Amino acid sequence: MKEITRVVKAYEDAINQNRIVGSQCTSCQDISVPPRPLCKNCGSSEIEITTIEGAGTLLTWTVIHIAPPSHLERVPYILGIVELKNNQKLTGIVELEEGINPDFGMELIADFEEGQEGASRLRWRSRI
Amino acid sequence: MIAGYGHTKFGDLGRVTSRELVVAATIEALEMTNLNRNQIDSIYLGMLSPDIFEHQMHAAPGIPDYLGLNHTPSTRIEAACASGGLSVLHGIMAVASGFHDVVLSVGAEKMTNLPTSHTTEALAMCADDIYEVASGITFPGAFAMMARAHEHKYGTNAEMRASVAVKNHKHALDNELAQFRKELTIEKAMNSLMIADPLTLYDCSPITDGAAAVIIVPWEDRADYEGIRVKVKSFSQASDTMSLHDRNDLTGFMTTKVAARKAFDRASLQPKDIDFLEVHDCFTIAEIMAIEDMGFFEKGKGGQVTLDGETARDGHLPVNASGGLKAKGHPIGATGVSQIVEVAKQLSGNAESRQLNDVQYGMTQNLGGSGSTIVCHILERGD
Ligand SMILES: [Zn+2]
Repeated sequence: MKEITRVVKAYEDAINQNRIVGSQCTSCQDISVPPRPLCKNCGSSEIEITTIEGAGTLLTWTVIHIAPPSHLERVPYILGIVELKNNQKLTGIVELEEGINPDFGMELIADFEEGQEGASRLRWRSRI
Repeated sequence: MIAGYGHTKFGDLGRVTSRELVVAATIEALEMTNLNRNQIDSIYLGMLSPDIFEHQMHAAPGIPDYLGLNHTPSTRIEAACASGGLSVLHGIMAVASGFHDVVLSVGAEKMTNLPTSHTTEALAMCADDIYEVASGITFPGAFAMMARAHEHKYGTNAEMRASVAVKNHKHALDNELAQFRKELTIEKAMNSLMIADPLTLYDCSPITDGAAAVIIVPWEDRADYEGIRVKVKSFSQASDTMSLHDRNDLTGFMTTKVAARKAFDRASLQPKDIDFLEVHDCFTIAEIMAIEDMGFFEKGKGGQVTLDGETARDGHLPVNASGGLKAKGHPIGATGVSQIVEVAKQLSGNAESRQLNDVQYGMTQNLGGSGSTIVCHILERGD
């Protein structure tokens, strides 16, 4: 029996500990964020969970005005795609200080909201 | 080939179930042919979510049940907004394999039962639940991020996006089955309610009830069937990552490029051979990206050519003469089948006041999720 590689649990557990993790292939060293059970580059199932620096740049964004019930109290909120240092990307809520507007290539750092669970804890804030 | 089609009115249809909508579309399709309902060998039902919208799982047997058929196999196919196109594709494969002679491919959705925010939530479930939905993504939000990336790279602005909506609303004036039959101006579209910046209300397709059906039979046996003769020239399907952020390019869909290329290759045709398109304009930017990614216009020019009228019904490549998802309406599971119905109407000369002249080949592009599934078909006018 092949062992189950639990990458989602690894990601969620890490976020709950204020960290972002990815998977790193032990044969070709390729990194995936979020982590994947098989290497995106070579297909190997030999991967290790590795902590990624919580910093990146803003690739694109929207401001959500009509939200699902889980996010109704937040509207309007900025949702963006953030490119990490290793060219991996994540989707997340971007929270900027009053007077700061989102911009292409804006430098962001990861933050983690209290009282939330899993991926929904992750926030991106501007590097001050 | 497509031997018959049926299509309900699209819109808020009140208290009615998707089963009843499917029956109406199916009876209309059968009545175009010399077939009776007992000759249907198998049914493919494209539906996103009877579970959420109607509190009904296992919806597929409900179709032969309401059609009064004895034990006819019926299978639900779910591929987000591409469910309908995929039900047609599987119907074609079942006939092409020789296993079945008469297949009913039908799509339906009854969406107006729920409050808007719950419908928004249900549709967002087509995105990646772990990495997108938990982060607060919505369907308009995903396309808004692509619209912003497209504008940044190619200059596709709000006026160009609005021109897609204005064109499709104008086309729908001649489609009595369309949800919206009123003209729209660029100004009104651009100044409507902000949904997900930069997309406004008129950049988005509506919430719709409706059903559409086609009867598929072998082309070789066409002499045995009355009805229309619209030949299936080719079909194709492609998948991509669940999450939008896992793609290299946020200004288009690789799935559209791959599926369109496969459809052209299998048909031994090129974009210049195609006379008109029905593409998946769930959002205005989606139509712009589709006509670029399918190879009809240079990447980045889709907005400008739409603004210039090249894709209007009287332009050199009519796109969404039916009114598209934007104005005809977008009952999720029905949409991909509705596209096939429109192409079949045009190729059989049955499109009435919106009939295009001298058309031989029509092509569809049906999109699921944030382009994670694409289904394309090329149909040809029969003899
Ligand atoms: Zn590897």
